[in-house]
Amino acid sequence: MAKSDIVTSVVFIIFSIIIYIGSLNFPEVPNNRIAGPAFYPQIIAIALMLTSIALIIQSVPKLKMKEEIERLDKKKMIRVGIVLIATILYAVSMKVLGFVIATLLYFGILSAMMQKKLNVLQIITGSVIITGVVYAVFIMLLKASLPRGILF
Amino acid sequence: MDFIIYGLLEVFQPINFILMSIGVFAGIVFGAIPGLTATLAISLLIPFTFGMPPVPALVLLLGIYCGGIYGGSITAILIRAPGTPAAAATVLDGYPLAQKGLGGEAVGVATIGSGIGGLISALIMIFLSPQISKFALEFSAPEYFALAIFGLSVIFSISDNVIKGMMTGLLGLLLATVGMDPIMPLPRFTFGNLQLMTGLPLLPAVIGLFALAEVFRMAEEIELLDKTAAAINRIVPELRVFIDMIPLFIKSSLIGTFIGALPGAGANIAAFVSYNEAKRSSKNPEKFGTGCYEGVAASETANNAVTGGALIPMLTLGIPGDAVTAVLLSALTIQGYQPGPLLFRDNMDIVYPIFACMILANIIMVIMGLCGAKFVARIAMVDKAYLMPSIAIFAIVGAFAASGNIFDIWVTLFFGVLGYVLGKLKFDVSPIALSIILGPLAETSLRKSLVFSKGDPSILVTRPISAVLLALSVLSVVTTLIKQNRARKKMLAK
Repeated sequence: MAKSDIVTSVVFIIFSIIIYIGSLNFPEVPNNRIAGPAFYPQIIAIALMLTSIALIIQSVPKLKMKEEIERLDKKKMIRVGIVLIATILYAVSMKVLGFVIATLLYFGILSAMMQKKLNVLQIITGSVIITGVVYAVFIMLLKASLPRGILF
Repeated sequence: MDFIIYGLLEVFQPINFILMSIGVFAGIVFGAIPGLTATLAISLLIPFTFGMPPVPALVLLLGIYCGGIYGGSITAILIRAPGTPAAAATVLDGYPLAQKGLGGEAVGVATIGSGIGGLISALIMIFLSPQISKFALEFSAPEYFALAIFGLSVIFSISDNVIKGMMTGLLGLLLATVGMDPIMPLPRFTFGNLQLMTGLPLLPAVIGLFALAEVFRMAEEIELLDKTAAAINRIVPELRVFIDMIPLFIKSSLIGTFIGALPGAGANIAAFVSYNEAKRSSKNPEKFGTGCYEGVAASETANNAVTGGALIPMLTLGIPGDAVTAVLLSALTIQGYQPGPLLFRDNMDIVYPIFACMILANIIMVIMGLCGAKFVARIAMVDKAYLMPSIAIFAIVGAFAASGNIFDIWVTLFFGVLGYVLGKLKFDVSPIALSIILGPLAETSLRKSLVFSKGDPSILVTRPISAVLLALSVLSVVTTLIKQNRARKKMLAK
């Protein structure tokens, strides 16, 4: 964990520096320097920087330790990546395809990925049932307006 | 007594009663499915409550809360997979019991224990909350600031690594500053984005952190769930077993309520503390771990007793003690209520039904558990190939439908990825949710205090209550830090 902790700390430090710099041009409250809009984010950014440095200090001695190296499992990452991309496409395509078709497809892709043995019939049934449930609950019961596409 | 009757009448309204029962059932099922927690169930269902009046919305969510903490015990006992972290201690004795063929009885003990724990803690909540809120009415800005810091500090100190807990907590505090300045008309960190003017929307953040992040985790591998649930023969053990355990039930309930009321410590900690205490004070501690009813009772009674306890600081002070109450608090906020002492002065119309609901939900939970455990155990084995896409769809559609705004889907996705990545790096994400909720309170009260004192920060430590709270916060972080450092040095020395 030591290596990834150090890298994460550096990312957090960069983030807090950006926040600190970003808050520098906030206006000040006359006669009360510390009650303005910049004060609080700056304090928190400094605190985040200090804790991140503390984590680095804590992790350095552990670097020498030979811990079981946790490699990022490529297969796992690809699967997570597929879900991420599918979700982005789902959000984008909802406006074009409409909620019903987009949901049918999204369920199908995720479900196919999670199945031990591909079973198309099961995917189609599951996808129709879940889309129907979401449609019934959100559109008919809750009267939410979900995007309609060209067909539905 | 009048108010309890008023509350009960309200909760017995058919629509409320039905919604509460649905909530309890949904909670039990979600709780029983390994990997899904009460927090996830509540975040997914908040969008459903948007259009509802406040009382039905709250009884539904509180039902899920009670059922969700209990449901984990069923799978903990029958398939050795605790449905929720809260039931991790239940496995220790529950599964050995199931192997002996006493799985049904163990579920029975867990069910009745959960009910007793929930009821006792609900009663304690009903009697203590009004007093605490009266006391808290005197609080002004410096006390609120100290209170927010105290809540955060306890969350930091229960993290596996305090420093990492602080880092995610501080990150949450920074994210909470996005949007309009709370005092001056000035947008901060919005990058000119109009959607961000009102700040990061709370619900999508919560759904992302607790539901979508779980979807990513589930996606990692196809789980081959070949476990079969142990058979249930009879579900209620002999009466004598219960009578012998009455003192244990009461003690575990008190432990659970107390731990629940402490900001920061949740149901899983309560279960372990209570289990260890039961083992320590038992006449035959060697029986623990080999399958004894006392172990199941201690753990399950305490984790459900957390429910009432955790609601005390949430309702009276507006300080959520753990992830579940943080999500519940956001539901109250969305309904237009500001939890805190003023709630008890101005909104008793929802406080009484909450009280009554916590009593009734526990009774319904016991009945459902005793009648339906077998059924629930079967649903809990649902194939991930259906479960994972369904959660994903409900998360996305729920986040979207609440506002009708595609932007909210992006926020959900952002927090989903953030929660997943931080979880992979062994960072605890519940501090983020808590800080997003407590952040505005912390900042506003801090700045009001400083305006009031004309910029002199000593106002925070010269007022007794805020001084005590701040001292406690520092103490809890520092002591845990020292403890963890010592443990780390030992580990390094090896």
